[in-house]
Amino acid sequence: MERREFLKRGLAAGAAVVLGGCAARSRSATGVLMGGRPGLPTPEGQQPLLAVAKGGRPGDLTRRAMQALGGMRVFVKQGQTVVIKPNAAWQRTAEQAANTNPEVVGTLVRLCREAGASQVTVLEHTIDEPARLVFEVSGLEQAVKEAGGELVSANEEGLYVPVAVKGHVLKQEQVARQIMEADVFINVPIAKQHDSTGLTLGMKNLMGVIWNRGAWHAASGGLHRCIAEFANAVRPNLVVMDAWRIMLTRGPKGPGQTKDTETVLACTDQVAIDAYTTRLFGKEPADVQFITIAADLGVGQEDMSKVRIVDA
Amino acid sequence: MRKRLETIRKFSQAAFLLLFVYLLFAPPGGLPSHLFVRTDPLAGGSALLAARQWAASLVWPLLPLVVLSILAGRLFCGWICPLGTLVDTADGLARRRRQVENTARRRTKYYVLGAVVLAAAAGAQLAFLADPLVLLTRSLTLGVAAPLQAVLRAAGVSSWGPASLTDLLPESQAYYRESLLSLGILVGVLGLAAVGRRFWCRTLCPLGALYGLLGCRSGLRLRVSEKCVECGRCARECPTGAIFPAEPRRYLGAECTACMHCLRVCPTAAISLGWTGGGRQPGTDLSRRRLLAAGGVGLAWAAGVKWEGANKPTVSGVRAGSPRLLRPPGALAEEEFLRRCVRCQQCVKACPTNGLQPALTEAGWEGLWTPVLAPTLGPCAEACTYCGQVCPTGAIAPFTLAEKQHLFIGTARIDRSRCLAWGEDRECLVCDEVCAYRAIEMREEPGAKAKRPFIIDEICVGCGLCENKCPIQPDAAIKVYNMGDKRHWSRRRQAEWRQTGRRSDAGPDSTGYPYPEGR
Repeated sequence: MERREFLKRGLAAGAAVVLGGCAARSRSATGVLMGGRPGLPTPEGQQPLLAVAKGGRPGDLTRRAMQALGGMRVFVKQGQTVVIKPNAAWQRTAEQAANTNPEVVGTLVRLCREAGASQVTVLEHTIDEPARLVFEVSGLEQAVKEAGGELVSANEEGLYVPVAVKGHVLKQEQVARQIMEADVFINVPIAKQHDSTGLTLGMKNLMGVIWNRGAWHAASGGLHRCIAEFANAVRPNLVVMDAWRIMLTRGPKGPGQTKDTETVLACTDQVAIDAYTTRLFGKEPADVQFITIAADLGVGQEDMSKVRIVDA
Repeated sequence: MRKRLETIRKFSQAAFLLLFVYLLFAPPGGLPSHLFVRTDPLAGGSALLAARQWAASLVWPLLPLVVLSILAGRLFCGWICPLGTLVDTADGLARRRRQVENTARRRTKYYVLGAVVLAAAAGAQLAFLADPLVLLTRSLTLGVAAPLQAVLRAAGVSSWGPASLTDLLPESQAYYRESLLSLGILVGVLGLAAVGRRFWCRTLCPLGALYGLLGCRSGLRLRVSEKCVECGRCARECPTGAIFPAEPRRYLGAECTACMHCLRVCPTAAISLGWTGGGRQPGTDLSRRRLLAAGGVGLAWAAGVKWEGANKPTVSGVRAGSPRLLRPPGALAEEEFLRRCVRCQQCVKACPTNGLQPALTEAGWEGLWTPVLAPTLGPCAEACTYCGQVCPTGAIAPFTLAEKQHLFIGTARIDRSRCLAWGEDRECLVCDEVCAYRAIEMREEPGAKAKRPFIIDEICVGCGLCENKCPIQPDAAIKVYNMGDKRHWSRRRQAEWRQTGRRSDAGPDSTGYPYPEGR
């Protein structure tokens, strides 16, 4: 090859790389704020429907709760993409009930598949590292794989996009791109005692879809306010609460004392399902600040007398 | 057949290079990833000599290659050594294929070896500087794998080869503090191709020198028949310059890597390889004076680093210049650890959180490139025992997950002025909630709204998870220091000490380890 030819080609290749790099960068950091997720608001004049399944194996309870809401086909249409967000933050076993029960998650993946979802992704920004050990130890790896879903970690900043929150404290937040791009977003928390927020429930679980959790702890408006404002902006289409075994002490990571309440709940109203779950701990919704703040923001219904509770 | 031997050798080289790279990136659990370093008589031997340890489990892996070299001289260099293969490749790419006649310079490698051995005899490691397998493992890990990972990730490739890339390196983009330095050393070694063929191997490599010495009575010899017309082609083309150009029937056995090139190029097929009677191979004629001088260099290195170490302040039983010198769990007590560690970076590569890093200054000159935990970059994951599994010299003794609960490498301390709970009376419990061992207790303090974190020293092993997750970043308000390092205690004593730690909010005992073993 002639020197001139070599230089030409080299420059062309270099330019391609640089421009490609710019394109890749602009995809993630254009500064264009995405709007939030609208969720599935309860129709005007109706009361939110809360399905409560009690007594049985976690998987069966999940199926029963979903049936009571009309089946997964109400939420997932043929060919849609689904992202499921469990609580899988910790390197803890299923028995210790620090993470969402793998049977609950696996069953949901199966139900989405049966409803015709083209892709079911289970996503978590784990707190313990590395994510692969968290997924292995927690039993989620196996459960999701067997059910035909994909388990991914969002432990890198490049996987996040800026989303407008429009709150008093939170203006915008880096949110996992897959959550924002999915057709259907299902939040699958586990109910636990939490040393800081009292209880960790559905809205608190959304901390696992943002990049900088530390900022919420350090925020001047307080952690509860951040949780509520974010839940207002990024709303899941469905919340399935794993309360099969609940942790009573030393939450959120444990190991702590646990109680088998054998309950799985499902609801489209984030506030209603969190408010109801406080009862399992012998508490009131008002005991958990972020529930009250979220209700004030209009995220959902805090008053249990205005929620249709069906036993599944 | 005689002509094909060189081709067969090249296949052997390619196969061993592939095996080396495969093992380097193979996930723990299958073939031992430390195979090459563990069977290396120079790296292993110097570690054992420096530590004065003759554990059978560490000695027997060295025997196969010792026996091979006694029988067949430097066959390893021509047929197996992955660095030798890369040097050959670089030589092939170098535009100037200048042949360098063998000069007295070839003896340099024996002096390098002399320095390494004498330093080890005096209790200090030096093999890490020039042992080819250690050098290559380190350079590929720190200098090549991480940049390669970046390129692959940019290209959208997340899995390739024997396992997914995420299994081979830290899950996120790997970062190593000495990537550039390590890459530079490898480039430098390969760049010697510009000076002459196999320049590293014939001039500097102490492992080659060791094999040359061990094989000095090897029976594997080249034979030249009557058909030789003394054209001198073999001498001109010999990659290690082992054949005398003036008298092509003579060659230096200690320089010959049995590469079979001469067999192929001989126009009259006069050369053959075979077993002949003993007698000393020529080529190990060393200058006694220089050997002494080299040994002196090794001793001086040992004396220097030991003197420096001896002057380090002793803090709560831990001799350490840096309060942040955190070793991997299972690492032997510092003195012993430094004698054994050959700085191959297997543990650094295996660390799934990217927390283990090669030391630059933390451990003094003697600890150059030894592994240190940098919690800001990554904590020591609770359910991981990789570093203990991959250490080729036992500097990090293998440990179980249950034992890991009481292997104390440090203790966390809170900077109360910057802590959100202590300094600003804010409700923050991140350190407590992430603590894998429940070593932090949130207590109500008089006059304070928010609960405040306290560290239970008997439980905190210093894994650094709290420091890694503290909202005050990048200089966390809770940090791990080696003040709690108990590596100089027996594991049993550490376990007993762990048992004395009690939280005031007694719950289920968390000392037992609930996860399955075998990782």
